[in-house]
Amino acid sequence: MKKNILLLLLLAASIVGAKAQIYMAKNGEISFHSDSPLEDIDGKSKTIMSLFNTSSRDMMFTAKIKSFDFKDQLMKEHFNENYLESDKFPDATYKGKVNETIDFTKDGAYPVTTTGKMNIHGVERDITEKGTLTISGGGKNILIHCEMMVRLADYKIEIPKLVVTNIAEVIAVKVDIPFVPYVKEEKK
Amino acid sequence: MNKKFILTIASACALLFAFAPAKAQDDLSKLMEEQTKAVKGEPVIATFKTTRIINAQSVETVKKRTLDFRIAHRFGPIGTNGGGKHTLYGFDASSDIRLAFEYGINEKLTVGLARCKSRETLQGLIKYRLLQQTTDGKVPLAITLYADAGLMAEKAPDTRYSNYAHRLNYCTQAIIARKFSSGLSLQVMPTWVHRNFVSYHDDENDLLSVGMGGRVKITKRSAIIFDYFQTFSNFRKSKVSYTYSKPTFAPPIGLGWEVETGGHVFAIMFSNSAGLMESDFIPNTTTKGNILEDMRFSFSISRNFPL
Repeated sequence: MKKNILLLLLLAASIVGAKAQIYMAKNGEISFHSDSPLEDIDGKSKTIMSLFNTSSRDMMFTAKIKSFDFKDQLMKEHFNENYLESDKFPDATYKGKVNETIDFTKDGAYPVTTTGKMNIHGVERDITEKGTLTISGGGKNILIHCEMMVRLADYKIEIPKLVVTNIAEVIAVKVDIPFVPYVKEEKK
Repeated sequence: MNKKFILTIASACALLFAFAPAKAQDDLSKLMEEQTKAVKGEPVIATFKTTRIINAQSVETVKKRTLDFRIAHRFGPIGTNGGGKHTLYGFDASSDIRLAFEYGINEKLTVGLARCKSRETLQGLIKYRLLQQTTDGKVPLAITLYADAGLMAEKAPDTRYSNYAHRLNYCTQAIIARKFSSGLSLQVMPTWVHRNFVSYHDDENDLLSVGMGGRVKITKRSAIIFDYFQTFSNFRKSKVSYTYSKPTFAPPIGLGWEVETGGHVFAIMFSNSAGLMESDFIPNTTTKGNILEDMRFSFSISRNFPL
């Protein structure tokens, strides 16, 4: 009987212990580079909203298409109007999970993989990507870094024949998200 | 009894555990929604593809540190008076050609220099974006102010330029626009044209008119465009004139199709006005009676160079 109660207490304690430890980043960076014979196109956003649950290892981010900046404004307009159609699809999102079990209290750099659903231009795809997860400050800071190749055709982003030499078919995308523990904001 | 109770609790806990991962992601999604919802409205972009509709200026300004080189051609009338097969429906008789360099000093301010075939006019223009529409609807409209001054540099055909000031004319305009959806943009333009010299002695030097213009997108890169100006002028309205050669005036109408290819915007249009400048097409558009035959073919090319 006493044993059972002890078990129950342990169980309860483990639930409390496993209570979601949520990390957040509002200033994640996503940049991309298109390399083509005629011109190089670079876009970058520094306001990627991202969340990470270290107990379930669920991870997600939302990138506002309009937050991407370019070297000239015309590129930005074309990016929004003609390619990503940000009026219809304002966000690119990722919802996934880090596959490896990691001790998030131990500093170090861990090679990881993540599997989940990427949604760009209204097209959702299952992807698995490799990256690095760096823990520092005794688990206070978690940095996720990932480099991937995105094929525009996979997300139904069409390139008209006239500008086919200006835009690469496969775009190199770099993701850097510096997570810190999420603190619930006091409602004023 | 106690045992049963503990068992129930234990199984409830086990159930909780089983659903915990799914719940965690739901919570995360909810939190994400909360966090991204708080983001405030962004400026509405691309109400029009370029700084012009057909005759009218659009609410857009040239992008920051970008040079917009514009070429516009207006041909002769398709049918009436000089049209028909002998001019290939106006193609041989271009009535106006405009070459312009317009530069975006920043996102709001554009300055430009242009030259028109009509009366060899040299034109300086300035355009300022006063208000930008936002996506959250807090600012429902965009407003741009436009002004130009033209100098008619032609050799005097008669005594008209005895005073140098006769060569000057001006246009001042407010452009009020709204992008209703990604497919539909409309604008209204109260306009004041001042000409120092008028050809008919009972014509007005100052003309007030209201323009309307719009764009309906048909694909991602092309759109149907249109504009129209209604001028308030007693001289234009009245059938009586002290000048026996007074023509019948008409409001300028334009209808066209524009397509964007990379850094170019190309437009193919029809309009009944002969001129390409505000101080020309607003006062000087006339009709021979059949609006369809008055129509003229026109095209424009805009090429943007980031500098």
